[in-house]
Amino acid sequence: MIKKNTYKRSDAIVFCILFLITLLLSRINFPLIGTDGIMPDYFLALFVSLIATRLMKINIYILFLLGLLIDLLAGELIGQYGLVLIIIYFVNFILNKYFLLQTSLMQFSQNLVLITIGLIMLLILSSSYELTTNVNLLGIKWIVTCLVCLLYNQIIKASRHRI
Amino acid sequence: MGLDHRKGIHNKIKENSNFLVTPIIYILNLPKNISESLTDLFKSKSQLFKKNQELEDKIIELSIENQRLILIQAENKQLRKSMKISNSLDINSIGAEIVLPRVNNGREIILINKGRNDGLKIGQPVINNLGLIGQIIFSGKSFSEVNPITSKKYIVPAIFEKGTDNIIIRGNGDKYLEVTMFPAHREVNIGSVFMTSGIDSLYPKGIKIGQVIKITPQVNNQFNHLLIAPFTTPMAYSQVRVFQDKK
Repeated sequence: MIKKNTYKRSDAIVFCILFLITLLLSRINFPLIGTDGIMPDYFLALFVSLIATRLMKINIYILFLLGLLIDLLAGELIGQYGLVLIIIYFVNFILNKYFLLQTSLMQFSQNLVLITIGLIMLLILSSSYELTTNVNLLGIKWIVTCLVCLLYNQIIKASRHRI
Repeated sequence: MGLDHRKGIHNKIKENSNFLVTPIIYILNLPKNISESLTDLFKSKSQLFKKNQELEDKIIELSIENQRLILIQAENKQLRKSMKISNSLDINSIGAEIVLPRVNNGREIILINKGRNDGLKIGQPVINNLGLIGQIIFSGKSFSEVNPITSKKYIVPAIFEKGTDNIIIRGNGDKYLEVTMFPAHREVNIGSVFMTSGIDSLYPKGIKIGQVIKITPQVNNQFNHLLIAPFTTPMAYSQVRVFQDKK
């Protein structure tokens, strides 16, 4: 019987390294983007990249468990990131079902859509009840998160080429 | 999520999974600790002598101030005894240092290097030498998280410096505190100082909170909105003190 190999070991190593780097980045106060409200959501950027590039081919259950781990390490409520990651996974599934995303511009648009949905969901699920958020700050956060997501995409592509 | 928000399950799990976060905090503080140790190692004798001189001057100033305070304390004790007022100022406190990180996934946080092992509990007030900083909202084994007074989730009972008008002050989430409905017939001026009232039996009486910088009349003219600038920011000094239970 042939056993189905769901993911490569090298992909898992890349994922672990990226996760640890993200964990550190999420706790570092960089100048200009370190202010409360502007700081990019590194975890969202990482998981959008992972889901969009299909690194490790993570299924929805593992994704939910990873979301719970993020909630434990950096979140405010249990299940916040778990739910957001499931929604992103589902939206990505729908996008791939109805659109053929081949060029890099298309894939970038896919990332933008996923990040937008993720940020809106995080805002709605926030424990601070602040629905009247500053739109300008949120816009800057969205742009910075998209840039971080692009960076993660490039790192994942580079690691795949090298391996 | 709703259950977690009501029951605080997240904090309970976090308290028991400190081993996951402690290495990250250690790594983040490592460069700072190394640079401090190296600076201490290569400090010249003249620098140390100068620092020593400054500290000695400071000790003399403080001892003079202390003599004056001893006299005031004795008078205060005598007056309290004659007027039969209970003494509520005796408190224990423990020193702590603010450590990195200062953000956690986009949220500004204040971490101090003392936790449950040092006797810290959730709810204890944190101050520095300028005034009130905040309150402990999470206590791990070796570190604690402090909610700053300017946070929207922060509320403290206060009185004016002259001891009148018991009110509730809350953070506005943007560097200031506020009193949303202060009665218009009560006297308040720009620069009026607020301090903790101590009626909650959590904060000791008399810790400085901030001063009024803006008074805005409400639409119905029956109340005023007071904007209060805190005397201190958490990052003003790295050393803080945490008040523990009363003696």
